[in-house]
Amino acid sequence: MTGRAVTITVYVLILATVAALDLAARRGWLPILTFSGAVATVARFPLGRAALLLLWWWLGWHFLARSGPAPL
Amino acid sequence: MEEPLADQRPAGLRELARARPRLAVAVAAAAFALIAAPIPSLTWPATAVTLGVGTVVLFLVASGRPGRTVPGDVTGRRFLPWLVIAAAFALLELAALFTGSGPDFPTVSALLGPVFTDTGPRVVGYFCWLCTGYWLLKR
Repeated sequence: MTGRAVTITVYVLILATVAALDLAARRGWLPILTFSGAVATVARFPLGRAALLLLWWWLGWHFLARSGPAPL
Repeated sequence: MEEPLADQRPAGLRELARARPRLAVAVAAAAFALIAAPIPSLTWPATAVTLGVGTVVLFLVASGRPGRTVPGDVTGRRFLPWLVIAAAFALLELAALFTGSGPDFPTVSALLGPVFTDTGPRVVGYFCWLCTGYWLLKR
């Protein structure tokens, strides 16, 4: 397995963990916040909300305005 | 003191009324995505589009719209797993970034960036970005 494949696997595992935790929270299997609840918790603080919105805007700009072709 | 009147409409109609703003946002986001996606990346109009959306969001935040949902509770233990996940992701990204984001240890940007040079994925990208922005504004 190449380093690239390992890295992609780890990213996918993180994403799968997010989905699993959110499902567990929604079904009441784990006493934790849902993903939406966690975001709302951060957003209740003005600085947290500003950081979330800035991150959201940056993601849009980065991927939709600054994406180039893969290096050869 | 008078009690506020309860919503007498059937449950289906109440649900529809609640879903209407979300549906309107989804339709507007889809229309916007179809118009904006053909603008190529790495050009000033693409940057202007994202700056324009950011300006609209700033205006909405300043004017207190749309109405926000009930804020989440701050309970350390219930929030902790999300903090751990966010920290793990941030560490991985920073490690990939500071080692040069080569083919063997790429950042998410290096993996997904080239996908968003084609119009199809850009339509999906704009749509998801705008809908996420609305969702975030409601938090």
